[in-house]
Amino acid sequence: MPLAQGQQAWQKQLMFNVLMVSIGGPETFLRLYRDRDAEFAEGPEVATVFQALADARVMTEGSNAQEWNIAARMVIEGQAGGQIMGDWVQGEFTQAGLAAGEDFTCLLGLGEHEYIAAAGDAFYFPLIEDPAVVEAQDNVARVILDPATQVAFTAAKGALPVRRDVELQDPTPCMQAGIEALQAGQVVDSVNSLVSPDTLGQITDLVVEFLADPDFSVEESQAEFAQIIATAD
Amino acid sequence: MQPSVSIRNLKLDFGAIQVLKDLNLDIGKGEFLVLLGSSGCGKSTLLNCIAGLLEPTDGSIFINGDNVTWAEPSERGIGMVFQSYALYPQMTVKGNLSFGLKNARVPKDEIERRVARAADILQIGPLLGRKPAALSGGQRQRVAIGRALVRDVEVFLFDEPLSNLDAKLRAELRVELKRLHNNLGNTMIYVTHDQVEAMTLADRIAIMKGGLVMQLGSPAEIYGRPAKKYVADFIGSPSMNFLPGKLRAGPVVDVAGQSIPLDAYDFTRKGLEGDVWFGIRPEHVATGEAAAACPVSYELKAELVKPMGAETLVWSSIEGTPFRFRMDGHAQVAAGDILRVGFDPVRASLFDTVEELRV
Amino acid sequence: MPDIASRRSLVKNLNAKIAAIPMMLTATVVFVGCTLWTVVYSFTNSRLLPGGDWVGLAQYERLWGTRRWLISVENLAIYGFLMLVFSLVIGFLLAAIIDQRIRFEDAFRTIFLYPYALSFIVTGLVWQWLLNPEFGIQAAVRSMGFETFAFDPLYNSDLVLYGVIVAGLWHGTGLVMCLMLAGLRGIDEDVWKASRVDGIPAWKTYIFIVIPMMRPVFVTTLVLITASIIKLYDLVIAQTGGGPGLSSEVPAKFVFDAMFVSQNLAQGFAASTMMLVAVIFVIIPWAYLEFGGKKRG
Repeated sequence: MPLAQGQQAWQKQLMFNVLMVSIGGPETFLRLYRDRDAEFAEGPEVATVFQALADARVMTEGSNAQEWNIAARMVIEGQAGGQIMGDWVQGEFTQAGLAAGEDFTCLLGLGEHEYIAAAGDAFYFPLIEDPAVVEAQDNVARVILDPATQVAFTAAKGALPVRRDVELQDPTPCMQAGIEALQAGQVVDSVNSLVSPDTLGQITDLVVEFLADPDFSVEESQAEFAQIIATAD
Repeated sequence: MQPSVSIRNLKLDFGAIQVLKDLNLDIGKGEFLVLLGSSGCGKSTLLNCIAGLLEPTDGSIFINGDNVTWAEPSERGIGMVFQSYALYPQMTVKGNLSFGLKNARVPKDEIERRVARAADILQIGPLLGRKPAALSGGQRQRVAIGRALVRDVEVFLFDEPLSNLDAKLRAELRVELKRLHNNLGNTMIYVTHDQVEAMTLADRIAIMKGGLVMQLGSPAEIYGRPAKKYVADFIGSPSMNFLPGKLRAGPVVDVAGQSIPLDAYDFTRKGLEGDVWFGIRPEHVATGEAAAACPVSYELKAELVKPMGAETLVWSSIEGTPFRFRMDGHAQVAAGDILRVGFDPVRASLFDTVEELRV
Repeated sequence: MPDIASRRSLVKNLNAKIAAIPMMLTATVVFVGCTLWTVVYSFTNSRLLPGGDWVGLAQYERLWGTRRWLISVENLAIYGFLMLVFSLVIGFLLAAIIDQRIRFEDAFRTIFLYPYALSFIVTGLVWQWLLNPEFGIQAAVRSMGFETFAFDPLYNSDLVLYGVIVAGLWHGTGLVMCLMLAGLRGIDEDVWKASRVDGIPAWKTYIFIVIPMMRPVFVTTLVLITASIIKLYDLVIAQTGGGPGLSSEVPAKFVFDAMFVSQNLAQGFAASTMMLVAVIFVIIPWAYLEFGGKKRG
């Protein structure tokens, strides 16, 4: 099959929003999720994105994996042509003994709009007065953000570091492309930080249903999407 | 005349345990036979074999001349009444009576007729619309009998049908069962461990022990001329006194220092000599003046006195062997009293000490 | 003197009443209290945390306009109906077979009951693998030479629910069987004998005599099965994740996702209130039949 796709809902939502940035472009993406322009959501720019999603629906037919790493395995074993996933999927490929640039490659922004949707996990520390504990908290933060930690962690996971000032040890061509995009400022906020989880949940449900049901038309789904954008918060 | 039920060389094993051992029994038409024995003697097992609810290991069973050893219970021409009544709780009395018939595709008017007849005989007409939960124990048992009755069969089997009832009701239903048997004239086989029930109901009693019939005979025979020491001990309450004795020519038996002449004793086996059990029932022991008139008498100390109203039971002993006897309810007697007791050896039962068979 | 009488009845068994207070508090505060709290907050627009403004029935309007909720309700209805019917029928049949005093009864009972000892998560995962076309039954049959054999219910929107039902049955039927077996063993053996003497075939004895006698066992079983149906969640999570698409979504998963993934508490509360209403609609007629008509006897 052309495209491997895990069946879990978040992976489908991820694919949809990758298409939104790459096919629709960053302006479209922000106009929808930041400006919540419902009228624009009914327009032709968004229609192309849904058309692309409909194409993906055909291309992922028969992709029966649940987890993203099982879907990646289908690519590794040559059963699928490719997979739309975050940069961390690299780790799966290198673990399988494949070399980036030789055995597999990355296509940032599907080759259209080479933008990165950046999101990070956050660590929260409780406010504590005991100086010993505060010092320990500082230590944890220091270790996590230490350049050496970042380099080692990045090498294993395959994703980009959260600091832009670290020098990566022989970055793969994939990481190289990512770093270049970052340095060029080709970054958009993640959809998670633009709309509420409730709105994102509604979008996810819509995408999941659209991908599962071949009779769900592009027009219909776009109309429902516009409805969600109209009530988004 | 051909027997109603006959059992030939019946054996039944549960694994290694032999429950019935080579059992033979003939039951005449219209006879009321009681299978009597303590629990575990095989009496219920035998009844279940006759009913077809248990498959015998060997031997055969004939009902009305047909070999039914392998026939289904419903095809044997029997009706059965159970200790727990085994009524169908979700059906009315009428439903209980007619369910089997409906299932056998008996015509409707015939079912109506049979149910009406059974209800009439058992006087349960007003109860037909009720469910078993709304009936008393006695009423339930009548319905259970009715369920056997509507089957219009030759042979009725009863598996301890009265033992779940209280004493008074049991006595009442006993009389009713006897009347029912007199009116219907069916063959009835009745299992019980209650000897009073057996004595009052039976034409013949089969005393069972360890899968064998110990003695088969009329209640009078069983009571008066028990064939084995076990039977003599089992029948009668309180049970027979057994005194060790020596039988010698004469015929005379030496018991507790006295020689008892047995000229009038009805011997089963003549000419036997040696150790014997001399058995005499408590109710055949006379006291006071009547004792003095008996051929044999002893002076005893009353150890325990149990007034029962109509009679008084006295526990005592002769040379260390326990000895019980009955006195009139009016008798003024207390523990420690010295009493003269006597009996007539004609009413005694003698058993050898080896096989414990009647002498 | 009603005063003294009522005081006396209050003091009667005082120790027992004091001992029961913690349980009564738990029941009222935890069950009734939390239920009421949930219902009240379903009328607000609470998001991540309870609070927000009073919005009336808006959450319910949105709920019944959401396709995923409608699919969930429909799925639960199908799952519930089939689960009830099949687990009772299969459980009873298995119990009836084992009740024939077959050999190795204990072994069979253990085998049938074993799945119940596993969590729904494990059950769901096992059946996800079994029904997976790449390495489950389909792959096994194909490897035996039937190259065109196709069996992938979990990846077919029309069949996925039945795949879940099979796993649910595998998990729950053993318990139903054990309850039924206990019920069958509780039937007086004389009743069986009586019906044999009456010439009633075994199947008729079961249907007209034994099953009516087992009514209490059936009620208990029904309550247990129904509870497991309503709270169906982890099996779906482990087996299908609600997919493909939304075709195996269930209400409990909708509630969880609304509350903790979409961070829309009020919407989740509205959905769980609807589940409560459904349960009440089932329980009230049943309770009326069971306890209201006592006078019939």
